Amino acid sequence: MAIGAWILGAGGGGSPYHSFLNIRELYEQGRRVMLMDPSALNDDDLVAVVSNMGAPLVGQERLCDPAIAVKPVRAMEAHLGRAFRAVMSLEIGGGNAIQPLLVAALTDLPVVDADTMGRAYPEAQMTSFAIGGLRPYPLTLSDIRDNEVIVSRAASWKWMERISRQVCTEVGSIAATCKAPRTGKEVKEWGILHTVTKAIALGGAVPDARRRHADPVAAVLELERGRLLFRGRVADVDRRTTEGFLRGSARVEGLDGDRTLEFRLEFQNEFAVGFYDGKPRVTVPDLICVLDTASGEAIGTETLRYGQRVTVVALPAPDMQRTAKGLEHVGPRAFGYDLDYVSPFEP
Amino acid sequence: MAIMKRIGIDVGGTNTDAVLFENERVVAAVNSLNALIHKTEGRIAPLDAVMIGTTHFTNAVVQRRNLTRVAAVRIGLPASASLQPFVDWPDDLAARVRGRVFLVKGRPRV
Repeated sequence: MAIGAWILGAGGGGSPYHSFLNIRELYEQGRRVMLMDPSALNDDDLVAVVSNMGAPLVGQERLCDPAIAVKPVRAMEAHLGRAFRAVMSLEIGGGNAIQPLLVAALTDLPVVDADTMGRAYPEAQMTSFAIGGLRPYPLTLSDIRDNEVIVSRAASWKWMERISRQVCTEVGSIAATCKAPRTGKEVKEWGILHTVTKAIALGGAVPDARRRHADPVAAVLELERGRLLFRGRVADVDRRTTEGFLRGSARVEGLDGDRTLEFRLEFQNEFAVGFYDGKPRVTVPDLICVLDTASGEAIGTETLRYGQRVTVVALPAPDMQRTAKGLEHVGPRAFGYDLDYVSPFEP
Repeated sequence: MAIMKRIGIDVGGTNTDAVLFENERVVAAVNSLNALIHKTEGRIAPLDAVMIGTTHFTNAVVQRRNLTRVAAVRIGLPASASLQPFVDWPDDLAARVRGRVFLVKGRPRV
């Protein structure tokens, strides 16, 4: 699942490695996680939407901790005076795919087979619940010390993003959060469904192809009905951290038939736009994934390096994100690009 | 500014090289630590750092031979408590190398 989640991160979301180690430790201690199909939720069930919020770079030093992940969930239950029926992921891309599993292993709540992005995005207003116009509050946040914050109201999703980001930065740029609680009905209507099983399938297909000495990149494309955009070698990476984002660009030079051409990627935590021969070839919300050509595993925007042999692929965005309303939240203009949505997939 | 003195030793399968640096400048390059001390007498101290590169290390890990237990001290609590040092080492290697593990409070604020 960690391999699949890292691919679905589209370059961002933070490496799932430490979360994977945590869940492996919990399994060794005898803890177990149950997956729940969204259709098994009653309309008035209450679901916790969890994530580890902050800068992936800080997470490399302040390692994610299941006991901390549970804290904001318990704080939310205390705030609401109601118990959760299940827990789900904010984003299936990167380490946050595993966050609800950590909570589930310690609380015995089931994990709903769904998330709110179908990939990774950096901000709160980029979720399917925000696109659906659902209520953005309350939110609970806990850090590694004994700080706990409840944002009981926020005027909009963007305000919730600004306020919670400020708090997160104050406690060290990483915190465990429990987002606005959702009813079973809301999850079934607005969640991006069956993404946990998708990550598991993807994560299984890659090593499986390697064992069969087949092309693992082809296995990813086949499973996700993706498109191969470019194959080459990383020639240049320009990376800078600004306003809490990892921004930059990377240039991939062609090998084989594409030797004279190049593919340029621009990223804001995740890969946002891909230019082929100078022209936009793919933009968010499609998933732009850079895979290690040999292993088929994802390379994140923070681990991209000169000389890596990579294959750039596009995986289709969830339908909801391709609508006019969806593009307002997660299209190229939402990331500050003066570009219309460009997709290698049929509308 | 004080001169930084460093010794670099590379113990290979067939040759050993020992080098004394003063800042980036190579003062002496010989084939053993003894020869280096002899050749540079007086100039080695006070020494800032010794850097050892050796295939002995790689071989010891690969062959799981001649390994000694080490203690791990991690300064960082209350962060990272759930993942102990050695958590992602291969089991058999960790069993030979892991000594005592200490997690102590630190200043995890970055």
